Amino acid sequence: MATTTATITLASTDLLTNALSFSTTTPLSKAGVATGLTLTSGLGRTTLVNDPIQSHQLYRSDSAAASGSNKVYLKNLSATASEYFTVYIDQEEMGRLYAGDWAFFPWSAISGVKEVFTTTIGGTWVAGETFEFDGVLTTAANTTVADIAAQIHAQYYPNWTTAISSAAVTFTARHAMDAGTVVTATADMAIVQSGGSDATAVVSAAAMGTATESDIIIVPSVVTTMTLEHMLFHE
Amino acid sequence: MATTTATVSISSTDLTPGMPLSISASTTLNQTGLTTGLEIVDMGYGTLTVADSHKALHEALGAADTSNYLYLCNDATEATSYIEVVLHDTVIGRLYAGDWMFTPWNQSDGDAEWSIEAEGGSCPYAYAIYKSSYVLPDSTQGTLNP
Repeated sequence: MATTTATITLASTDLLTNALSFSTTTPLSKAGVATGLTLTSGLGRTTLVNDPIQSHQLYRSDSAAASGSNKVYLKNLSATASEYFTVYIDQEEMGRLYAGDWAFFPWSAISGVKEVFTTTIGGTWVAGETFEFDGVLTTAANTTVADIAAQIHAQYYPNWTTAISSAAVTFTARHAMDAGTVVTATADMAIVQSGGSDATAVVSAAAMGTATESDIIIVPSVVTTMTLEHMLFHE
Repeated sequence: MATTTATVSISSTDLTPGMPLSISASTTLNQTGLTTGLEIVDMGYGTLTVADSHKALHEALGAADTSNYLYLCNDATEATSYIEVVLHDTVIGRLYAGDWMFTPWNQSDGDAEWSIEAEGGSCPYAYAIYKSSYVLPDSTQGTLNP
């Protein structure tokens, strides 16, 4: 268990007739218990060269426990008063972080559902025939469908992870998203057969993903370079 | 012009082994894009009960695209009692007992209100909202507003 404390002090001698000064300290604990958060992204800085101005996904919802006691720290390191980052949670604009401003807030990290589908290697394969998906090409080493499935499973896919059961390979998207249709796989998957072969890779089960609801997005205000300091404490 | 400073310190000796964490940041709460300070503040205390549905903490009654800040603290002492913080219809996060938050707030439109709800037990809370501007809501009883 780690012990991390966060303290805020808000002070002003001339905002009100009474001098204002209050301070609050909290240990960063896991949800509903007194044990400290142990996971963090580490303190980082992201410099954005913003020409044209583009949004930047700072933290994905699936990088923290949904509805956990996660906390996010942000600071705009700009020294020009008019420069700001606009901070969004999903589609909701939270606020503008002007030069020198910082924020510290809880984060629900509500993720979506990852798309998943299973394809079963079947038919009669000939060594040398290929299976391609997600830009990754697999060449059948022999005619045994279970072996070919194992070859497909052994590959690294940029956007998918895999699991295998006999000749069936289950692909799971690395990130939750709503692709708008069941399985990009059916469009992206390609088998190159040789003459007379009836090699198949039939999608036997599929479930569409759903979009995340809590990704943290930042948008810089100017086309010049801006830098954000940030840290995620999470479960 | 008022000068209000917000300072945060985050520290840990054992969160990242071999690399003690010590963050300290301070900012002056300024008007939108300027170096002159904010002069409007709204502060309060209250207690949320579990029986309450989401309660409006503050409506978006200021000018759009301005510099505003929200401080909110859950003063509950039971670890399982938390405040769910919602910005319009987006759940931002959970403030567990003793937790606080400080965040910018862009009153970009009428759909940018903050609301809060207690879960797991009653939650006393304190808040402060520093604002660029404030617009009173229209009166619904015109005869009382000659």
